[in-house]
Amino acid sequence: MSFAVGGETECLGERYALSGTDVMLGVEVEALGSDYQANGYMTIGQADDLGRLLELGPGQILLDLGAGCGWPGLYLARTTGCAVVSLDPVAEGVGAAARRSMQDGQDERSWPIRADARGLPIRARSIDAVVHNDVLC
Amino acid sequence: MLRACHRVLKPGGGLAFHVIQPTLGLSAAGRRRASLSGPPAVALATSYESLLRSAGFAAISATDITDEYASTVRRWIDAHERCEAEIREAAGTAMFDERAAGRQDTLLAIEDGLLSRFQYTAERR
Repeated sequence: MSFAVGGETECLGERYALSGTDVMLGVEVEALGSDYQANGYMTIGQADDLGRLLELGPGQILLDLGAGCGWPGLYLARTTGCAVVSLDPVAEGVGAAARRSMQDGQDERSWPIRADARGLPIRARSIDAVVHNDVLC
Repeated sequence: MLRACHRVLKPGGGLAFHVIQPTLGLSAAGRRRASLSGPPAVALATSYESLLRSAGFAAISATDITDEYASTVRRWIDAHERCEAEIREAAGTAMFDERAAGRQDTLLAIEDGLLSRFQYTAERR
């Protein structure tokens, strides 16, 4: 199992800078249907499926591991009304997630955290649902 | 990491994730090629079902989403090709070429049956 650490996080930082450009956001919309600076393989339809499977809704807390810039956690928070903890080890990703949650007016129920998923700085039995996307390989 | 997820979830809480993995039953050579064509740590030897059970999860479900994975890779490739000039300007030629080659390699590995993508869901007991 892996999670981005060390040099890989530096590489991801550069990738996040590029993914925020207009051209790459357009490419992302075409490939995934999202515009959260994502560069993986979870489509907007698959994110909606996860929201339904996990029965997300207002009053619940979702933990998104390896959230990057907020995909799909921030999106699921926006569409289902749940709160979200977006956790990622890369500062650029966490910063982008924080800016996006403010831009979308959902910062009161969004907590971007810079941390490694192996040592979750989260209280036991406090989360209603967890998602992650290609973090475990 | 699955144990960490189990610790923070409320009893009855749900876990859902997508993973890319080598297709089960590959030869050693096939697994090597899958490892080179997929994400950096794609070579997992143990099944996710057993890892989830060991971590204390129940109601485990696995859905093969490899076909959607292939379609998504194709859309990335097509979109990159359509915007090639702009991406080369923004990212640089070396990065564009590296990404393009990587996506093509991944697509070939999927089409050759070497890489799979699964959705797993499970519930914390």
